[in-house]
Amino acid sequence: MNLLHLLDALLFGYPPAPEMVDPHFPVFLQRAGGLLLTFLVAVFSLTIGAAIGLVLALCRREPAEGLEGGIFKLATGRVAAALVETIRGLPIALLVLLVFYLPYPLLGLRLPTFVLAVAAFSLYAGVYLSEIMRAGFRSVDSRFRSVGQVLGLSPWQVFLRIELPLVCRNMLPDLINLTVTVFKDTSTLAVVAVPELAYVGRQMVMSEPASYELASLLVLVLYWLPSFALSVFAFRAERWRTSFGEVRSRIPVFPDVRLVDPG
Amino acid sequence: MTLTIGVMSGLLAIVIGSVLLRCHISTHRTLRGLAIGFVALFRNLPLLPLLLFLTFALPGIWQRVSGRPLIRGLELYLLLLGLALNTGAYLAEIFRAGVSAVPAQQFEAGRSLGLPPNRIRRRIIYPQAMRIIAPALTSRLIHNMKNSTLALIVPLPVQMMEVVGQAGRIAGQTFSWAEPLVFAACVHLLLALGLGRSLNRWATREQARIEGTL
Repeated sequence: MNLLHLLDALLFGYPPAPEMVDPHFPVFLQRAGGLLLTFLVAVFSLTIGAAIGLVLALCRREPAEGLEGGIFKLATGRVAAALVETIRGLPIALLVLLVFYLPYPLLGLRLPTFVLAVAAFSLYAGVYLSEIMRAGFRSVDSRFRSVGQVLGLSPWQVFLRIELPLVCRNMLPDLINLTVTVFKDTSTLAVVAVPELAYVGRQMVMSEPASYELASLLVLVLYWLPSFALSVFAFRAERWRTSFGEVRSRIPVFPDVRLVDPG
Repeated sequence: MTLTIGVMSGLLAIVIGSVLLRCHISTHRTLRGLAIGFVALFRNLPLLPLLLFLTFALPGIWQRVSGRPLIRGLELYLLLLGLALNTGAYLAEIFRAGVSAVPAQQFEAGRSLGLPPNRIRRRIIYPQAMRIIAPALTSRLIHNMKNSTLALIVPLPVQMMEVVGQAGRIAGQTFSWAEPLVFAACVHLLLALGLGRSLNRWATREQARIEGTL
């Protein structure tokens, strides 16, 4: 086995046996494994996780000044908090095992491996994203909201046009760091034999005694390169935010605006 | 065993982090470069492939290079080393952030009192930095405890397995996955909560002392 074969298997997974290939679908999709599968899981679960995170973060958000949250708001907030704390307290390997082995005995569900993998990592990413988003919402001065209302914008417009841009800028470095973490942690899927990069690498180390030093080193390099590139990006984003971001949000535009004038 | 692995690797990680910190703030160029390289390397390597490399590939490579097999029973130590390298790299960053958050005037004040630089660091800078980083430090150590779950991919003898590994072994024997896994999850939740509570109490106490000193 030469270097090209090794790289091919590590990047795209082992080719399936010819009799297993379904002629109706492209072979490329059926053999998805290795780094490609790692990327696919990471991208899908970050996208779904963003939706989960947004919902959780909005559930746990404190009501605006002067507004009382109802009983519904209180209940959803508590449930969201419990969910976040539970999943954050579990190690990711255990979460993966739970998601892979519980649905069948409890609910009688048999789902494809890829769906289960994405489900586990969506939960994981969603929970951490919700914490990042919550911090992001808090970082925006609540007076911006009041000013939007004073200008006659609807709550949605205030959220979309004023808060979201500020929140996004404040969250960017943390978001990129979370992407790196999720990308690295997908290697945990090797525990349940999903054929992503770490698992393919392990199979190689076990099955090909001639070239396993090379294979094991290549696995490490293939993980390291993308996450290092992203880390550099995160560092840049952090510098960008602190260099000009803070200056803008510190401009004392509205020194003392209140919705209701106290006197 | 979860606790043992977590605590041992945590302590080793603190040692590695401190050494890296000392290299990082030294005036020696090579040392600084080495520390930066080390942190960049191990922060961007996922833990599981790193552990696989250390426990599966390293013995073979050692044998090929030196012609002798690696001593048996080293897996536990390699595992601890892998965990500590990973956490140590993160801790080094946290320590560095803490030290650079202490105002430079503190150092200058020490100098004007005629204290030698090492003494200033030990008696003035580090205690204050410790208070600043206490929350980040505790969350990293809890994370390290959770990471010890990955020991389940390392072939350890039965009595050395941590809780998730044990759950998997029992599940393999009884063919039912639900109960052992849920039990392991409860153990980890309690651990994270308990450890989090006690470490957080320490962290808030340290934080409360900031107002008095800075």
